[in-house]
Amino acid sequence: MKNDDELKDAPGLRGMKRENPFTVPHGYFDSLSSRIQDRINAPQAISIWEKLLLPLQRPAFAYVTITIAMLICASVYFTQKKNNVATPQVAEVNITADDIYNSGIIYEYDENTLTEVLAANTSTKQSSTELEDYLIDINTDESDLINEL
Amino acid sequence: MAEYSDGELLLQFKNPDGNARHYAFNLIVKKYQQKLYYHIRKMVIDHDDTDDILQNVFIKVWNSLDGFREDSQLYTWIYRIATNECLTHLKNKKKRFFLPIADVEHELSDMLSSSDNFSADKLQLKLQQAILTLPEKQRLVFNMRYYDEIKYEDMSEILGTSVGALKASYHHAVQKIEKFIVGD
Repeated sequence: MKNDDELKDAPGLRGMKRENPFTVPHGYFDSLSSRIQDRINAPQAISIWEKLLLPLQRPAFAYVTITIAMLICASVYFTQKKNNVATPQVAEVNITADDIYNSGIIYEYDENTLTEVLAANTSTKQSSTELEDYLIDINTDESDLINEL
Repeated sequence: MAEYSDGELLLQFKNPDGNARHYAFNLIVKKYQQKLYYHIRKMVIDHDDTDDILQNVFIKVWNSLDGFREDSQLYTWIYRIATNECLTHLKNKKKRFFLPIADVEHELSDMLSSSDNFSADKLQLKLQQAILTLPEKQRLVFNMRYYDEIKYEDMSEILGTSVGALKASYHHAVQKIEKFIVGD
């Protein structure tokens, strides 16, 4: 053997036969190349979808996908924020009972709407004297008032 | 059958004619199948595992041979693929079963004595068990030098390690094995 010199300090190993103890099943090497050729020629069992999705499973594509998703989320977030700032506030319309009365089109309003507007605009700070005067002005019957309440 | 040189096989493989390509590839398989089989088998011990790895190695060779730029020799390139496949297989085995290295070696050692395709006397069995106590890279170095008598320069290409480091690794491996054989 060419490299016996390297075993000069290992007499036990040098004294052993260098034989290969491994064996193979009968005919193994005769059929190996044809089995490999069969595997090479076999049609790929993966579907078209798997082929398309396969590159996406690579780490590089995963990083790119995550980056794109983050960019999309960030752009949506900032766009919404910008829109919120730019959107003009709807002007608050304060309609008083006098406005409605003076408009001349009071009969065109829905009665419920008018009630709501009046209720909203009627000052709660009005004194009870004013309320009594109002009730007297419109000749409200006391018993009717009790019934309504 | 006359044995073609690697250069001739490569030339034939790069022929645009599909049949010539397949023919050249078959010749490459025939030329290297036994050497690679035993190279892999000494590392993974089990015949079925060796068969799987060997087929994968040749399929990788088929898929990559077009891109082979002949910076290295064909045989060291194929050996390198086989070596990497072996190491990946052993790594996956450890991961799959959450085994520490010592347990994998123990498992391989048990496999060795119970294998159908293993014929050796007690001394040879002991030698194989001694080899299995070595770390993977050292085991590769020992097998390639002791059994296959591969030159250190070629081993350096295959394993990507310097010649000096390989010589030292082989020397340590021999000492460990000698101690294992004689010591018991």
